[in-house]
Amino acid sequence: MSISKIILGVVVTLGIIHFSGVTNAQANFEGIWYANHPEGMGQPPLEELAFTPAGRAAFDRFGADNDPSFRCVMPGVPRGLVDPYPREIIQQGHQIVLLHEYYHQVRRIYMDGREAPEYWPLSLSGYSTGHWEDETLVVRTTHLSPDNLMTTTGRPFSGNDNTYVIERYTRSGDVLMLTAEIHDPTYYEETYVMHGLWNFTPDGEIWEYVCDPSFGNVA
Amino acid sequence: MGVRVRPQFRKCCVIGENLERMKTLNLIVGLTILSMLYGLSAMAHHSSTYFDMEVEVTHEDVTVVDFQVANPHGLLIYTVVDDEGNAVEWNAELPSANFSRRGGVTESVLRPGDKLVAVIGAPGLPGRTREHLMRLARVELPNGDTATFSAISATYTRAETE
Repeated sequence: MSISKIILGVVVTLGIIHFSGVTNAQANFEGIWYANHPEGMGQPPLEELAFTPAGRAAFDRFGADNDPSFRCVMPGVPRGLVDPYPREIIQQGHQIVLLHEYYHQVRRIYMDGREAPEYWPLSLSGYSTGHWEDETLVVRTTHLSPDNLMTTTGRPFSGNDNTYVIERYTRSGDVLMLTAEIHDPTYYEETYVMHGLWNFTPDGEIWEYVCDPSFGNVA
Repeated sequence: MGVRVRPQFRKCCVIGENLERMKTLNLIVGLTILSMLYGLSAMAHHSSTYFDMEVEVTHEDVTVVDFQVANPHGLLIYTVVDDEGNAVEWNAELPSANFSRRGGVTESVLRPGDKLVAVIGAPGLPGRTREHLMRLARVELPNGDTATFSAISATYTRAETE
């Protein structure tokens, strides 16, 4: 085989790999991560939020009686995207699993190209699929429950068919960064953006979190 | 009279405006710096929604009625004598059991009948919480031990190490 044919083969192979996306880099997020979020838990300042009239009304209605966490309901998505507790990430071929200490939440992010089953119900975790863009993990979550909030402070989340969430996770050394876009046009005029930060803590521990609703109410 | 109330200075401010407009590198640097500077926020749980974080209430010479380390948050119930000599029952909300235990605040720290030098915290906002509820910030024990709390942390400090 001539040198020119070998070079041609290499070039063609690299081209196929490049355009098929096989070269998409993947980062390693495996392990335990301790929260170290920016001030305000990475939430936008209240005065910068552009509520729709329905969103403003829902925010003004908020109180202890309609806070799901006081009933020991897990925060799910979007409220639980950024919480102050540790979490563990497990990377498998077909999925990435997020194991939260907070409320024992388990999130499965399917990486094998599948789509949500036809009758997948609305739920607090929804249905998450992901892909890599270079070393950034991009997650899209749909099928989200209306029994949820953006934050513990009562920023509302409508959880209807028009809502979805895009998360982008990037690792820089021992820091994991999240930028999450929450699309909820029922309650917000603009995309709601929150940020999270976690420190890699290989010797960290995930504790059991048992919740008793009798300790939840402040009213 | 075992009750003192005084205003607190606001601790923080709005930061990190328009982060979404930053490019990825700037975002990484910005978030990391913000995190280093400020760490986790007091907004982490329900503090500012239900409690007046700019006011500090101090109850002195109180008696523990009950102490529970629990999720979503723990509870200290105690009595304090008011100006008329009546024993008034108060509830003080702790951080979650997971944060309390990580900081050494376990069920054995306080027991019913214990006398405390002081209980300090932020009072509930009228209309948002029931009466006589605070978010616990600090407990001072007769032996000099202290327990301090934020919304997402607890620290038990023994007198000899303080």
